Amino acid sequence: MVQWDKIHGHRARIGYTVAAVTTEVYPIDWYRIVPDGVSLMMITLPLGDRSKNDVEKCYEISIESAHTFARAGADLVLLGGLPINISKGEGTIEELMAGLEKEIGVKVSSSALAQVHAFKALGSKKVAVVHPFLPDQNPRHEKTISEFFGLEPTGVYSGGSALVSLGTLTPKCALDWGRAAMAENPDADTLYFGCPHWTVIDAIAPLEKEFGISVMTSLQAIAWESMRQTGVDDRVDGFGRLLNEF
Amino acid sequence: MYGHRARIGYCSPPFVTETFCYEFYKMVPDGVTLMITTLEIRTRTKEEVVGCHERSLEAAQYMADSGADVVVLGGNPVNQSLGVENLPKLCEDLGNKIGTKVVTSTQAQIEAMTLLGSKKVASVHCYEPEHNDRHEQSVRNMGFEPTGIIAVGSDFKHIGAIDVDVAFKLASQVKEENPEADTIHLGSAHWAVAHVLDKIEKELGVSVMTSQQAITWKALRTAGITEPIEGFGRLLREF
Repeated sequence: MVQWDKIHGHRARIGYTVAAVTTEVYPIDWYRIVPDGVSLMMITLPLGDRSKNDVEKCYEISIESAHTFARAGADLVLLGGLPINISKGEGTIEELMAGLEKEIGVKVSSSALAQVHAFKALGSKKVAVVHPFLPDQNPRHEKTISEFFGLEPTGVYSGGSALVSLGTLTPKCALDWGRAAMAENPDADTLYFGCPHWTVIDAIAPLEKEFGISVMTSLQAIAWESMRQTGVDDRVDGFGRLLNEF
Repeated sequence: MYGHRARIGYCSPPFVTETFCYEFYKMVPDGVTLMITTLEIRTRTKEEVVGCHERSLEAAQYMADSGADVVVLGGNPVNQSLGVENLPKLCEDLGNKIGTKVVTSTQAQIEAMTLLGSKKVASVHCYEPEHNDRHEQSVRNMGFEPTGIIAVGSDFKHIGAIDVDVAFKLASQVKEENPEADTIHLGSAHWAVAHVLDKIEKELGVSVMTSQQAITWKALRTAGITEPIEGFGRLLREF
């Protein structure tokens, strides 16, 4: 229920850098997850084909954005885009976030840290990955699971879509691809859906129930981290254990 | 997919966008989605305005490639800087180039006020008073008579934190000071006003047009979504 006598972000305002030229699905799923009073402040980043130049440019804009969000009254700045977050070295991300937090005077997190915290909360060890992109992205995803998150990748399932087609994927895609990934990797204790720009949230609870596993998605982890870091401790039903139990 | 009825691309001028998206989804029916790209405007310098238009063109292409049914070039100051009279041709040419329909926020507002029968337009905008002259000139450029103006007094960065009772309070004040106004224009698409549109029309006896409402209305109608929408003023209900 909307409270018209308060600003939209009367409980928490989250500044989020969107690692995409255009965003469509993210705000819809964000507002389906968060309770009323938690608003999303967005800056889209010119991340095209994930070239080194793109990533560096996006990193610089992300830092500028953090300052802007802070001046605009954000309660938390969350830097999106795992490849951007870890572009300065995987071991330095917590230091970078802490330094930035000190500089801007507002709490800072990132999609990378959100997912670290989410995997930890869920107790994940063996992770099967589903991502919507072409199979040429599989090694990058596998490497991130093992080297950045320190978990065991059991396999990667590629949906085979182009970046520009993410908005056309139906909720059934996530469900079908999640089932296929679990069929290929039955020893996984966690199914991880990478990229927050396609719709996955409706598949989380059914897959957790069907396979007795945890499901973590980028967007779910970012929304969860945003809420918990700003003191919004509501348990949210319908989108997996992470939002319901932790 | 979420946008099974229409997918609307919107080039959003402010560097940070918060309110537009929230209010868009309060208005549109299920099956309509917003594809959004935030642009360059931090303080509205001339360089930012130019850069904003250039990035809009890139974003429009990307949105078209992604399947947008219509692309809205936002930012009345950005659009007006190109000349109001040039906008139809610009949209036609860009639409042909990118392969989808293109409209501007300026044309949306002109068409909205024309349909509402507006003649004398009082404005409330969210920025500082030094922008009053620019806003009055903007109304004139769109072909209507400016009839009073009040500024909320916020800078660009803080428009997401404007109290939601401000819009009605200042709309009442501007109407009281300018009783001849037949329309109240709530300028800028990035502050919270959607909740007071019906109230303003009912209690002040005027038509109301807001930038965000007009953009959403024009995008919907261009994409073939023609059903009346209740709760956000005559524009979305009657036209």
